[in-house]
Parts: sequence; structure tokens; C-alpha cells
Amino acid sequence: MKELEHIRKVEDEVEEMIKKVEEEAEKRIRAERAKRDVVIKKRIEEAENDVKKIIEAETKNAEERVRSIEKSTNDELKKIRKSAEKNIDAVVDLIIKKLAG
Amino acid sequence: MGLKELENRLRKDAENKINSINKRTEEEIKKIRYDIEREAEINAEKIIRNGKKEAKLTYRRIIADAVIKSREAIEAEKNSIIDDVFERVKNKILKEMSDKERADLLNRIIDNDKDKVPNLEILIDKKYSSLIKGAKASNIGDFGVIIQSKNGTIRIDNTLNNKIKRLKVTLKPQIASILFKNGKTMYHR
Repeated sequence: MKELEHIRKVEDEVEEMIKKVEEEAEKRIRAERAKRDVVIKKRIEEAENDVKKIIEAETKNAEERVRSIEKSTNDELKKIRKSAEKNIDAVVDLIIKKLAG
Repeated sequence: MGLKELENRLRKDAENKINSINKRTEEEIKKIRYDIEREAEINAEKIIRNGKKEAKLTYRRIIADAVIKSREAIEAEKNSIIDDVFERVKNKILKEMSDKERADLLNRIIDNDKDKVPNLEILIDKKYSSLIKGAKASNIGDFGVIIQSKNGTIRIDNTLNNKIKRLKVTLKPQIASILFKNGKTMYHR
């Protein structure tokens, strides 16, 4: 009778151990699932920061190109003024001729 | 089977079961982490993909604005120079030419159009009436002449401002090609 009692005690003991392990496992799984939103939010924030850097870099490249365009435009304007100054008398004479005609 | 042996068996079974639960738990946690990382990565890739598109569009928009601004500046400069040329023409006629040169100019303007108007009269501003004989002094308010039929059905307005207004349109390509012949068209990529 004593032996049966002892075995029942051992059975209860291991059953309790298994139950605790199962509960602990459930708890760990729930905790892991709960991290989902935080992990995704963090990765999205990282991606948004990367995008910000990409846009900043492209804007910087574009601004450099704009400076080059502005320089070309100024050179072009100088050429236009120089050419116009050189040819203006011929054009004035042409217009007066056309006015009479 | 002895008591001790039975107890050991029970404990060994429990240990195996616990090991199995722990193994399953580790696998489940690993899978959850993998799924979350994958979902996060998919979201991030989408954001970066769209961000790269936005960055390219931003680049193109900035360059396109600069090119348009450049073309407008060049066009405005050319128009301003052409306007200035016509002002010089006016100044030359009104302030630099001698009366004889002005009279020659008016006569050539009249000769050019007089055959188009029957029974004509020529109107000229009082200020310049001494330059053309037979022209009717009037308050035109401008250099030049108006050639019209006496009954008023035909009227050719050859006042300076009016002629210049017409020439600005018709002569613009020719004037531009002479004035800016060294100016190449700019292209920006």
C-alpha cells in the first residue's frame, strides 16, 4: 500500500513538472508573438530613415546638376549678349529697311 | 518490476516529455521570429522601393524645373534684346536721323502702299508735316503716315509703332537668327 502511495506521489510530481514546463512554453511563445509589432515598427523606422537618406542624396546630386545647368545658362546668356552686341547694328539697319518696304 | 525501477521509468518518461516540449517550443519560437523578421523585411523593402522611386522623381523634378527655368531665362533675354533693338530703331529714326533721312523713309513708306489705295489722302502728325508735301497734318501722335481713301473705306496705318508691332511678329525669326547666330541651343539631360 505504501509503495502504491509512493508511486502516485511520483506521478503527481512529474505531472506537475510537465504542466509547469508546458505553461512556461506557452508563456515564452506568447511573449515572442507580442514582439511582432515592436520588431516591425522598428524595421519600418529603419527603412524610413534609409529612404530619407536616399532622398537627401538624390536631392544633393540634383542640386549639383542644377548648379551646372545654371553655370551653362549664364555662359549661354553671356554668349547671347555678346553675339547680339556684335550684330545689333546690322539688325537695326535691316529693320529700318523693312520699315520702308 | 521493482518500485525503484518504476519510479525511474516515470521520471525518465517525464524527462523525455519535457525535452520534447522544450524542443517544440524552441522550434515554434524560431518560426515566430522568422515570420516576424520576414514580415518586417517585406514592409521595409516596400518602403525602400517606393522611397527610391520618390527619390528618382525628386531628382527628375528638380532637374526639369532647372531646365525650364534656364530655357525661360534664355528666351526672356532674347526677347528683351529684340525689344531693345526695336527701341534703338525708334531712337535712331526719331532722334538720330536728319530731316532728309526721315523724309526719305516716309516717302518710301508712302510709295510702297500708295497704289493700294484709290483716291487717297495721306495723314501725318503735325510734328512731321513739314517733311512730306501734300500730306494732311493731323493728330496721329506718332511718326509715320496713315494712307487712306478719301471716303474712308480703305485705311493703311503705317505709323511707326504700328509698323514696328507688325515687324516684331514677322521679322522675329530673321532678327533672332542674325542677333544670336553664335548662340547654340542648350540641351539638358
